[in-house]
Amino acid sequence: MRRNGQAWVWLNAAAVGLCLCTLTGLLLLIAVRGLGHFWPADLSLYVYQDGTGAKRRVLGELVEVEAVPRRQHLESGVGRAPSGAGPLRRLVIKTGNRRLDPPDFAHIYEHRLESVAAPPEAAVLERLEWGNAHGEVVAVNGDAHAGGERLWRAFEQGLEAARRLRKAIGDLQDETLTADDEQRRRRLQAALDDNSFTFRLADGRRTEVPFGDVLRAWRPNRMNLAEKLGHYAQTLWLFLSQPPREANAEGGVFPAILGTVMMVLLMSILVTPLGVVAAVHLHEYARPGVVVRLARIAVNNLAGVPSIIYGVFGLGFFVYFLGDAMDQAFFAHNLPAPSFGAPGLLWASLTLALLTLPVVVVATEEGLSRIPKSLREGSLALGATQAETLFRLILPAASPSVLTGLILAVARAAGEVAPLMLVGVVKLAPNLPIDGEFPYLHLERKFMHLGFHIFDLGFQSPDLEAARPLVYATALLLVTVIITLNLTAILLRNRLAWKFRQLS
Amino acid sequence: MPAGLNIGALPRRRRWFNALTRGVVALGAAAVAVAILLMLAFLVQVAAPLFRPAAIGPSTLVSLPAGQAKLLYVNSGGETALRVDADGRVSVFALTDGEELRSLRLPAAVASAKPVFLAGNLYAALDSEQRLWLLQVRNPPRPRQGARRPHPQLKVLFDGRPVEVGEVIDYDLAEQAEGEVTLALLSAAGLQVRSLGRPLAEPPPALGAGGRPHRVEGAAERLLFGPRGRWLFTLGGDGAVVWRLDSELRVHPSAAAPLADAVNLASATPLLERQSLLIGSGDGGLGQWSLSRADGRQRLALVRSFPLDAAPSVIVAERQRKGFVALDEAPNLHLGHATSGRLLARRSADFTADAALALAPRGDLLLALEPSGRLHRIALANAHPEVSWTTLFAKVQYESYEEPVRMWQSSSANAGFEPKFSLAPLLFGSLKAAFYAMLFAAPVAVMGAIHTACFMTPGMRRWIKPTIEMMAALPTVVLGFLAGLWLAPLVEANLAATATLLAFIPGGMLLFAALWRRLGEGLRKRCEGWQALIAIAPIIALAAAAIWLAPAIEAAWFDGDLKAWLFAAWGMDYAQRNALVVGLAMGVAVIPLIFTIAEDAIHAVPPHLADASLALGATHWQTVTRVILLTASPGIFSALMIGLGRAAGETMIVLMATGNTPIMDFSILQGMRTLAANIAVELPESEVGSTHYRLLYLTALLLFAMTFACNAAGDLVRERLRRRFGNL
Repeated sequence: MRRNGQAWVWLNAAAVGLCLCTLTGLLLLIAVRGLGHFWPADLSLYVYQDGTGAKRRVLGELVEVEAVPRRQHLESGVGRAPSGAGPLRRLVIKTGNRRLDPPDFAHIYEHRLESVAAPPEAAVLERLEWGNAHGEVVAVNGDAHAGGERLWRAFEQGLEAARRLRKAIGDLQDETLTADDEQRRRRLQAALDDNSFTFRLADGRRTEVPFGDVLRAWRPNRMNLAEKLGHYAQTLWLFLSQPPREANAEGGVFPAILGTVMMVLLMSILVTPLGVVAAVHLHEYARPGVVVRLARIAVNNLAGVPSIIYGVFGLGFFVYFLGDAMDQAFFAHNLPAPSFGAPGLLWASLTLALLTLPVVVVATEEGLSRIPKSLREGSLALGATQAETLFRLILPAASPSVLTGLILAVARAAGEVAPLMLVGVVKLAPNLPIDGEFPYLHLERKFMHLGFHIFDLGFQSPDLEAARPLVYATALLLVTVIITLNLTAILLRNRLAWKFRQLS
Repeated sequence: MPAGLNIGALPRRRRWFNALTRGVVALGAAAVAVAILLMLAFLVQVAAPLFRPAAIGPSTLVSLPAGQAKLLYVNSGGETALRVDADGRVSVFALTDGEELRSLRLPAAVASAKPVFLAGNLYAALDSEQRLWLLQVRNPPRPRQGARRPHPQLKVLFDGRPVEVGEVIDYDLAEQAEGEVTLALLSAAGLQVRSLGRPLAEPPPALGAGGRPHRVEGAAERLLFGPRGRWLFTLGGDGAVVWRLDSELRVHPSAAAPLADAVNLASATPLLERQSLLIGSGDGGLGQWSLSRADGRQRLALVRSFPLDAAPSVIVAERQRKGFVALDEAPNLHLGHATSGRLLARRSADFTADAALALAPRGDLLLALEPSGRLHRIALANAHPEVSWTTLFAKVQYESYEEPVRMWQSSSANAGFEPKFSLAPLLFGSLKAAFYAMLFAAPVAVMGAIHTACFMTPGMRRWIKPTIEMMAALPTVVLGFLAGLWLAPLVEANLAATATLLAFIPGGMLLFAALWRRLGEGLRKRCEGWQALIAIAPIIALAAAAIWLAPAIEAAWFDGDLKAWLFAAWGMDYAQRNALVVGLAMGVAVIPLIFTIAEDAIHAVPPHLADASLALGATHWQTVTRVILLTASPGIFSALMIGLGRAAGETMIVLMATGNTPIMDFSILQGMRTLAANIAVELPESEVGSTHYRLLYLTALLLFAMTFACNAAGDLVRERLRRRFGNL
């Protein structure tokens, strides 16, 4: 056993297996939780007895089933547990209805449950504020419309009308209002406020809800698979295309996507020429020697410098030093309000450009070193200058490596958060970094970022339970983007290796 | 390279283009080099002023009217100073040129004068007829931006009437909550505290009577208000006695401490916030007496001493920091700082020893006014007195702490707060996080690399390697979020299952290997090279078994509650976000890094070495351990060092999964605060140029140095040993 080391071989194999399990497990966890968020889950009506013995009804979606140790159940003093050993099962139901019927979640011991039903008319309202509401639409503008499908059609018409009104009001607010417009706006607002519907909660209470408060509504229990898939796609699209609402806990992540993309684009524009030039210098122009070796060690070591240090440098040098100097020189009319003397998009991109510089340099140099020497010598022998050789031969041949380096740099930059927290990312940017206002691209503005969005939602959100699914969804988005980028880089590298094997 | 090329024969355009390219490339490369150097230089440049020694500058002279000043005090705002002379003259003058801006004359000679504690620009003067005058200087906002002169106002409060105090030995005033001023009097009858109401309110209140005098044993000579005006100190023959003041203004003795015989009570001066007194003594020492708790009672205790050249005659405390200036009888000027326990600078005084001293609010200017009217303005270069190697790394006795501690606490809502700048807990936190991450990551990554490089079929290796490298693509913010919000509560709820899992998987795999040997030879041969995939099945089975058995194990050996058992048996407290969670999450982050480098190193070992070993009759495993691993060991070492550097500098995971409490506890069940996370948390709110800001840059440098050392060590060892094994 010791001589052939079978045990060790298996232990080593287990290490690989463990890595695979971890990776798959983490990806699955993020994918399931992130994607599950958009699925229109069925609503169930739970009838149970609460701790005081009173009968209660809640309408909601099942989030999970917890195991509660008996001791904890006993200590909570909510009545007697059924006989038997082992932990008790407790259902966690998301009831929604914030503001109408707190709290957001109901915890029901399974042994207290009397019945579970799936009422077909149960509807989910996605509200502008306070999250989703669960219940049943029973009348539109006080008219029951004889119930059933006709009622729902009237309800959907009301929603559609409200949507049009909201849009019209929004359009009006953009421009300078004349008195006429102002009057029109008020009329529209009145129309929006006037129409309402009656919503019945699980416990039978009815409330009047203005159509203007509701974004979307659906009846999950009546939807078939195709409808659910359609609804799912729509929700997903809204998530990707809409700005966040309610302190980021609802709505979409569009500004974060845009901010990340803008930052990464700017960074690529900055880092690619610099990185390629540095690599070309090291590999093609500089005379090999101590200096080049030192430079290589420096670049290699730079890749190992913690990212937060780039942030520290960016804040101190770019923001406080360069930014202040720029403000004094060009934006003195705005002072003391800073223009570039505060964290912003430009500084974040510059900082990340520095951070990813080693990635591009190393990848480009690797590409350059793969080009056979004979190619260069052939070109020079035919009378081409070194510059011509570089531009006509070497750079085109090395371009896939440059691209690989750039993709890896982009992947690194998109996932990096720590330095950005210092040099320009905010939880909620009032304006997008790009808009219709001159000069269209606002380099000094603060921006939102997917990675920081995750941190902010997960750790600084006032209502974590409500925000949690959104964090998973955002994490899934970020992971998908980065893994796709990395896969592209790997495929590119493999094709490249294959190509050069043919070449030499 | 184009050495033999005759460039001169080329057309001009091509020649220019060639030269231009060469120039642009060189320029670009230089820009990159400059950027890298600039980064390091900038960090050093920001952090360096922390260690610049303090200096007392030369005097510049300003002429003022002659007179023996009983009080010289710089008003808040730092532009004007108040001067109270023995002959009853009170004046406010500009600091820059000494021009008198306001003055008035009290009807009698002044015996002593002092500022009212906590209140801004409120002063009291006791005249020779035992009357106390309350003086106020106001700095109204300037009428327009850039007006040249400040125009302060000076008035006597209570409509110009004094407070009769009777025969007193000493007195002190303090502003309590909501502007109420209390007056403490030490007389032959004892200690008495009176309220003066709110003298700044309109209309001024009538004077109230106070509590009854409390008899003071022995012969007290000095009386000083203590912290927040809720404590009183009397100094004298009985030693230093601490008194507590209750809301009805009654005083209660707390505890006494003996003072040395040679103390100079007249020099006793409270430090900022009055947690401590500085008292000079005849033998040339200067002691810091600090309010501290012993046996449940507050008393003054000597916490540190500063040796001066001669007995200090005057001590002036700084108003925003715990620093002070002392003038000794030599006469020499000394600049010191209490927290760091250092005398920072000294120079001989070029003025008479009876001069009145005052410090500007920011502690950057010292005023000395001689009776002849000569005012010395002395610039003090003393930006960061609280930083020394001792305060950064050694235990420091802070005010109101029972014993010296290493602590990081950089800010507080309280303005007079004593900042605690020990880097030790942060450094400790970084090392602890890196240690636990490596504890988990190093074995898994290295063993995985060994298996992938030596035992896996080539086809599978082509897939496995990029797959594990893909773990590096998981952004750390996602790992941190999962660790903090998913793993931490999960581990907390299932601590026993987690522990069982960590023990079961390695143990169970050994058991599995033993069982595997009983399988038929043919099957074993066919599975050769696919063990990694096959191992997933027992791993999942073992995990399931661990989770299933955990409650039984917990009940049998740990009284049914592992957390409670750990606390009872080992005193281990449990924090939800702890080193275990961080180690697992950061392990996932560094595994791919270590794995890739180590795997490359092992795979790069020349195959003829292994072939020779096998040909000589060694088993596969013997070849791996004695030949391949030995040859690849520098590469593995390098991988571990680079992984360590990465773990020490990782920010988001520790930020989200540690709780960020700067404690020094190596327990795996406790959190920590690392250098990197500390920077991320505190730098955005730090004031540019402040000690705190520069210290954060220093920590960044420290972190840089640590990771650089790790990476460089990895590189160097790899380079050296590669050369040694290269000729194999």
